[in-house]
Amino acid sequence: MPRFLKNKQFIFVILIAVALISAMAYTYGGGRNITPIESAIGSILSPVEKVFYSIGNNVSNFFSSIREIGTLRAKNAALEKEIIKLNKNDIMLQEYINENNRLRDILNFKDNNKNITTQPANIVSKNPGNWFNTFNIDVGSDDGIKPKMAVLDEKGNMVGIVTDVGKNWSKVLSIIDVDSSVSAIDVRTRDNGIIRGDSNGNLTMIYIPIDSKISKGDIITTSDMSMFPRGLIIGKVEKVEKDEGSLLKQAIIKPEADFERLEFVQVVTNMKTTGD
Amino acid sequence: MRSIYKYLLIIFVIILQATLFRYIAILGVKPDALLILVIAFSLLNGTRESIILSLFGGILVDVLFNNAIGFVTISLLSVAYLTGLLSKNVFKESTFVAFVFVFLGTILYNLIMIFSMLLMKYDINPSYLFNVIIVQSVYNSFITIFAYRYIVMFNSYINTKKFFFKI
Repeated sequence: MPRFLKNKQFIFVILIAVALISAMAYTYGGGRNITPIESAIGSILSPVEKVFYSIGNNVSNFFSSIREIGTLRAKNAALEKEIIKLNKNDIMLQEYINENNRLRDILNFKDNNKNITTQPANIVSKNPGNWFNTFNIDVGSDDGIKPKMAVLDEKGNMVGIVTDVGKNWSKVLSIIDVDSSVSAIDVRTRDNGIIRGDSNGNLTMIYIPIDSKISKGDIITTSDMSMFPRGLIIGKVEKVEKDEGSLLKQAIIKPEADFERLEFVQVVTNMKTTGD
Repeated sequence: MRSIYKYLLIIFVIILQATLFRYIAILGVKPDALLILVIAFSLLNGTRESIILSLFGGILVDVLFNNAIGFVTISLLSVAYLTGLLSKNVFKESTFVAFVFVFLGTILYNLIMIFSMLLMKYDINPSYLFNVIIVQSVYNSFITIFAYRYIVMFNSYINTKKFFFKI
């Protein structure tokens, strides 16, 4: 018998390791309502985390507003010009909306985006490691949150997916995580693809057909083929490249939501299907 | 009961890391204070301590933040247990020893995590991978140079008086 097998502690460590690997296999993938013990741990710690998180945000906002003072005047002038332009556009859009409404009535379409109901939430903490982009929010099953619900930022851009739900807290996988994949569509060219995170804070859209006319600056939204509501803005195309070794294209997408300064989010509560 | 401070310190460090540490990230890489603490305590107090602390801290992090429970714990446990085993043969109070242990420990810790990620079929970007491992090892060991003295003081404060039971 080898010497290390006589060491009880070593065997103990091996047993723990095996138990942990089984736990990993069991819990991997998310989409579950977490156990009462886990839920309790989160419930105790998330109020504390919330305080620290908001302290951090306030401090960083303070410093960034100091930095912005110099550019405010120029920015203001530019914005005023923008308003005039937008007002003109608005009138034009109103025309289009009226026309659209008429056509929609004829075709009996239903506008999905108007029917989204959301539940606001605060972010309380982010994953402490460097490998994953997940964060925790302060709403849970008590507020009607279920796994696989979409999470949006304040402006309605797609941010992530709820993975695990506790009593009053949940884990959210952001779309920039390497493990995330969302079905998406190019608004202009109607090309479908899958959006995945690439761990650099950008997104990659894969499985785009080779003959697609997708180009820089196109807006990418969620497609109707996924379980998410359609038309949630994900980001803008930054670069299009040919996927080596396959007859497909892929594109680098810059996410529309600001993941560095995320503070409040909203969870879409009326999804087509959610895991229970 | 004084060792309760140790556990409170670990909880506090995890909270700080999840909330405020993103502001001190260098090249997008955060230091891992939990890893530094666990390695330091394993170095000072041996294998028994290394198992208990890595399970406590690791499971807490996994339950709170990670998709697969056991992910951080298993890497932390391996590194801490190895440190505990090797700590018999080194001069424990030396900052230089801690520096070396944290540097190599961080590399091993991240390698085990990458290995688990590969098993779970993650797509990992090689350049990012290199970046995280190198930057974090340097960052962690740099922090250790300044923090280790205080951890030793804290540890001896906890160990000075024997109480009826130690957790």
